Amino acid sequence: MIDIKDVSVQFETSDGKVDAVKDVTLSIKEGEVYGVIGYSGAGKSTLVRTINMLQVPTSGQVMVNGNDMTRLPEKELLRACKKIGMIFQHFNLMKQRTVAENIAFPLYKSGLSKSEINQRVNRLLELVDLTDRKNSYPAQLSGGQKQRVGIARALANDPKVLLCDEATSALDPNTTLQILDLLKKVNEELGITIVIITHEMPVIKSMCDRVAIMSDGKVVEQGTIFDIFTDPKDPITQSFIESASQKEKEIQDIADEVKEKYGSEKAHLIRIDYAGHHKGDRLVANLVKDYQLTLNILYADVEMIQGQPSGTLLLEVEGEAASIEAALKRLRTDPVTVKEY
Amino acid sequence: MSFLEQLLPNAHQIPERFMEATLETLYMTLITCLIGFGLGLALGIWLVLTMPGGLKENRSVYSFLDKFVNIFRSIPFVILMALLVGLTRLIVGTSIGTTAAIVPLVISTIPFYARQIQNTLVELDPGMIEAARSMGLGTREIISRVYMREGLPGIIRASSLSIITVISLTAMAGTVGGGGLGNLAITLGYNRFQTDVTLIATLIILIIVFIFQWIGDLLVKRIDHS
Repeated sequence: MIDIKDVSVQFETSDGKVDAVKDVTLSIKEGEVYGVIGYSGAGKSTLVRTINMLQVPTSGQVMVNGNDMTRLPEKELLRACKKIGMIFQHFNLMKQRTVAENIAFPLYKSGLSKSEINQRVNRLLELVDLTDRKNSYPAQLSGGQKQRVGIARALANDPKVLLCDEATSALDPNTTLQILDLLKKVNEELGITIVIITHEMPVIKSMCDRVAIMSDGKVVEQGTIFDIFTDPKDPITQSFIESASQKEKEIQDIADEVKEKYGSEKAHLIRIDYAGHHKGDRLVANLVKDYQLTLNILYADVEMIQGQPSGTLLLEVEGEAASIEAALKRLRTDPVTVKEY
Repeated sequence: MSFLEQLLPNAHQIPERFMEATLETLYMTLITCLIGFGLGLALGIWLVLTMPGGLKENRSVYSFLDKFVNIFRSIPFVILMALLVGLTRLIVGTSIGTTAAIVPLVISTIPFYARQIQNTLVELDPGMIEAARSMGLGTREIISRVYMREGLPGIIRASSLSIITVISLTAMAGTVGGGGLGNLAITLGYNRFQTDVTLIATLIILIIVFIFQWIGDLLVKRIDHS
């Protein structure tokens, strides 16, 4: 659907040339929700803007829907852009037009008759649940309502792709969830490929099939949400995942507290991480049964990511030193990650 | 002797001259605005398109237009009238009279108005332009459907401000044979010490200014939804 090949974007600034995007290669499949995450200045907005040529890449190739966007003549490029919807952090609605006029905006000169345009606008209003605000102006709407108008407008031309540039970053958490639900609906019911740029890991986790992590203009890691969340390789990815949950901090706090109480020599703390089905089966039961250990669960957490469990256990272990040693040895042969605190 | 005659010893004798001068002032103002605003709008849009970050960014064209605007805005109007005598004669056939005054008026209005338009359009949320581009709108469509439509309240504000400037310029044009209320105030009020004539001319000018301002404010209030 979208193939980005060796794309680089260079800006000329007063301090010389700046590489906003460096040699990025990505492939986004039809119908999937693809996330691009990175801190501000990582180049993610610039990268996504090359998909609809809002930003012309300095080098590289961008294929969308079989069209080489970098080589299309002006007129065909404009036509191709009509099939790529885009929504923005600050909504970018036309302030002097009503909700209905905003949604109809991209349909001007589309060859549709007035009644066809009306029909489509009404259908889109229904989709985004704003039928009663049809004749309001953007200034009269809340942030969430404005973004829903933005989504309806982006869908007016029946696009194949929807680009979301920090679409929820200006919204409160509750409204963010509503907008994400709507985007999910758009993806599932209309089959539209969605590209999401964000700096919020929870957005990626709840929405995307795959994700690319960007830093300093480069994609440092990409993969399915499950792989990235359960086995992040790059430090940037790890920091994003940590920022998305309190888990690491909580585990450290508990471990510190226990060690302080019993002394670090006496307390045996074992952390077990597992990902996927059937991997943690009977693990704890076996430790008790086979090694006569007494286990105290200090922390336990299971998350469902893309329908698969990803869990963490922090255990306090009591027993013979030799048994603990043997148990650890056994655990290390299991398909789980073991770490002593 | 009635009260009015006592209060306005000179002005009350020449109501028809006031009427004539008012029409001349309105004539100069309206024709100047019609031509000057039209050309100024085009120049203003050209400035916005070519300026750094504009849709058709072009450093050399912008720098030329920018300097042109600055130079013509810097020349005092009285001097500009003298400078343009040749051009005026070429276009109108004479350099004296109300119609002749319109040439320097227009030349002076274009860069002034263009700068106002540029400032107005630059203030528009760049996100709207970006959204329009993302929807596959070409430059022409963006001008007509975003700049002209979304910028309309600002354009009207700039216009009512510019009309007031034009009215004050027409008064100056009056002093060198352009006619109008300025001419009346100088030739009778100033030169012949008929202060009441000056007073009435001022009053009429103020009324005209207020009417234009009122219309402008009303229009903006009506159409601005931001």
